Amino acid sequence: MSVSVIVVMGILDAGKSTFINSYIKMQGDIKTDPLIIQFEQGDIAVSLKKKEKNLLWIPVKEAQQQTEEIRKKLYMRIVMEKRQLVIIEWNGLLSFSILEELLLNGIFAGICDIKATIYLADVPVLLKELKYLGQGPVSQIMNADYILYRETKGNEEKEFLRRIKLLNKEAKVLPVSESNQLKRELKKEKQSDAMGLCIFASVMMILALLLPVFGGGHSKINDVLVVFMGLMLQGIPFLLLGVILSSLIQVFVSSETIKRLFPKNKLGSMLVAVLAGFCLPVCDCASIPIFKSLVKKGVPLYAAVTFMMAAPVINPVVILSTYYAFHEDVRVVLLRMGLGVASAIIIGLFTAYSGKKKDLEKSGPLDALCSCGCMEEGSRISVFIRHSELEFLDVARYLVFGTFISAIFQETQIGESLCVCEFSFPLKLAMMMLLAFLLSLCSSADAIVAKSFMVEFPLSAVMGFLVFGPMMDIKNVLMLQSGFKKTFVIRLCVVTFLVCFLVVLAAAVFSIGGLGYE
Amino acid sequence: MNKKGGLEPLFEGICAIACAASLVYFVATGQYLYFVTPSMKGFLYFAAGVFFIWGIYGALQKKRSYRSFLKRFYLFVFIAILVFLPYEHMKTSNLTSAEDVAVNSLNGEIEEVLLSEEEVKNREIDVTEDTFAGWVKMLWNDVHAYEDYTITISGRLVKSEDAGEQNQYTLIRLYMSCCAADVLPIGIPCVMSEPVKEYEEAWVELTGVVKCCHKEEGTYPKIYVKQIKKSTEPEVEYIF
Repeated sequence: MSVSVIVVMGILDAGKSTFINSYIKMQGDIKTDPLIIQFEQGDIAVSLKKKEKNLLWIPVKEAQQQTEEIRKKLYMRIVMEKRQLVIIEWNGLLSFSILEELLLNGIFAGICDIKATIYLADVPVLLKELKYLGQGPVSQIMNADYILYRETKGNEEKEFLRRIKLLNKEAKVLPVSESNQLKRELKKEKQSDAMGLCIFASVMMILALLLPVFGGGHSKINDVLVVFMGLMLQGIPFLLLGVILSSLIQVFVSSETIKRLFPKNKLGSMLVAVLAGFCLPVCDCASIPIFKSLVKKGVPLYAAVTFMMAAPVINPVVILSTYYAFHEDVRVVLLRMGLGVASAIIIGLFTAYSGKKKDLEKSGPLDALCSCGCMEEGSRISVFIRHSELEFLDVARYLVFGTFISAIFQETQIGESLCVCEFSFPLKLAMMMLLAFLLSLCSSADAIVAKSFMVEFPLSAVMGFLVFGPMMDIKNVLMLQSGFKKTFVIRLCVVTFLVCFLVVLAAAVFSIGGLGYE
Repeated sequence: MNKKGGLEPLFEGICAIACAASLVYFVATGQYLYFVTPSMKGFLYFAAGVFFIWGIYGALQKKRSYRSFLKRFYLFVFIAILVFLPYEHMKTSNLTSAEDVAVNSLNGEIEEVLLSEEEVKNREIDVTEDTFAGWVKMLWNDVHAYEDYTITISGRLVKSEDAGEQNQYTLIRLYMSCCAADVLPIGIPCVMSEPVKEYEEAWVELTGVVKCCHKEEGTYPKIYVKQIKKSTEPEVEYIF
């Protein structure tokens, strides 16, 4: 036996009862009346007042405390009465996990088939008070398939839609005026994710089988795939290290401990960030998840940015690889470290004095809210495992995309062909930095590639490649977008480019020994 | 619509375990060496281990929840399939001439080779798989130190087109410093007493004498070959 369940959620006065009433009216073809279960303290749905046999009212407190008793009560009403459709009006402050526990587990395992979850949003209340309402509303939004809202003023609506997307990218967000469309959609059967995954796997395998036909031998397609695979195999373990470290911080280290490590004054805080970057052997793939974790834990954005910028340039692995790649030339290592630290601190300072609170919106105002599994219940170990896995899968998509673009650039040699042109030093420097951005090499291994440019370029221009590349490249930009606003990422990218450019240019003029230094 | 429960946790687990298994297979069979250096072996096993733990954890999840993360698991399937693509790897045989050989890019990361007292006494250099890059670097950097040494070395013999000499070849190998993105052909020029057409493009072991030659930009090594024989091509052409 399978019972269809539709869950309607939302805070008090969001319009849940009205929605349920109009939905029932539209379901003319249902043989038996739906059972309405109200986990509420508000009014009973108007049209149902006369049909109490189709209504079950459960007090919120009982739902929270007496799972087994409530489950039995639900079983009697749903299974024994052979209901086909159950509509649940879920209290806006109750966590969605309580509903999951009641309807998807225990004696209900395999019986209830939740067809859809609908969240009715009160835009002004959500914008002002979401962070004070606890985990209930957040967990509901995160689990909603549809989010309905009443149209409101332009900016407010835009802001609401943006925040909703931060919590739930997959939900279909509709204004209430389009709720009829939703009601029609609820009748349709949808394809399951498992089916989608099977189709994806089949298409991939067919493409793999066709590869020798269309891209076999030493074709460009093959070469791009080989470079792509090389970069992926190089990047994935380090990204894993990053997400594991970041998950450890997220799950096991309290915000207070992290905040204590960072002094309150800006410069001190940034110096601690630089020191952390020096001590942690993480490349740019790994530093981004850690950066996101630090921000979530309340570390000031400028300190976290300083860490993200400094760590891939000055960590021990990068120091060693640069030392060996440049024929054990300590000056190159010191230059790279010095310019990296200087640039990171300037970028941090820029963030400190120009950063807006909005920059933190994916992690800040909604305090530690994310869809990466960290809000799941269970032991810390299980939350750690789930968090690290989901964070990896979330960020790795961007790594895949970034490395693929980078592989195309490497194999088509667009960057290199530009570099052979005669340019003035500032243009050469900019060209090197652009190349670093496009190639997206791992910071642990970019020194050897940088060294190969020494034939055509002076060290001072190559230094731009070595300093800017680890801080910002295609894959970093894409990975950052998984956690921050696009405008913030673009601004950070532009600022990083300008700061690195000016710092390296200044060093070339005043310190390295002039623009022609080889 | 996301429905997690029933077989879906198992499905999630299978995706992650399949990804882990394909990585283990990839490393254990040595195929990874076409893409990254042996130093990544431990890291790749580490990655496979993490995927395996995630897979087991996912498959054993008993508590059902509504929201499924199955879409994200496309990545595991993607990686698992990526491992089995029929790649055509870069080979020395794909190089049309020795002009492609990039010795200038050899760097300090390559460990230099120490000769034993006996080798110094006999003025003999025996180049192995592990010491090829080291010797190429040392000979290009300071050929004077090894002039007139007898050297035994293996690699693919490629005709040099730039030298204008009929009997000039280059013995090459492919050197990977980090991953497939930076594979470079490296090698040493060789001079034969007469053209050796039958050995061109073949995998050979040759013995000869190291000589110092001069060009406008400095000195470089050449091996004057005394003896040449075909040898077995290694499974992975790359040196690291």
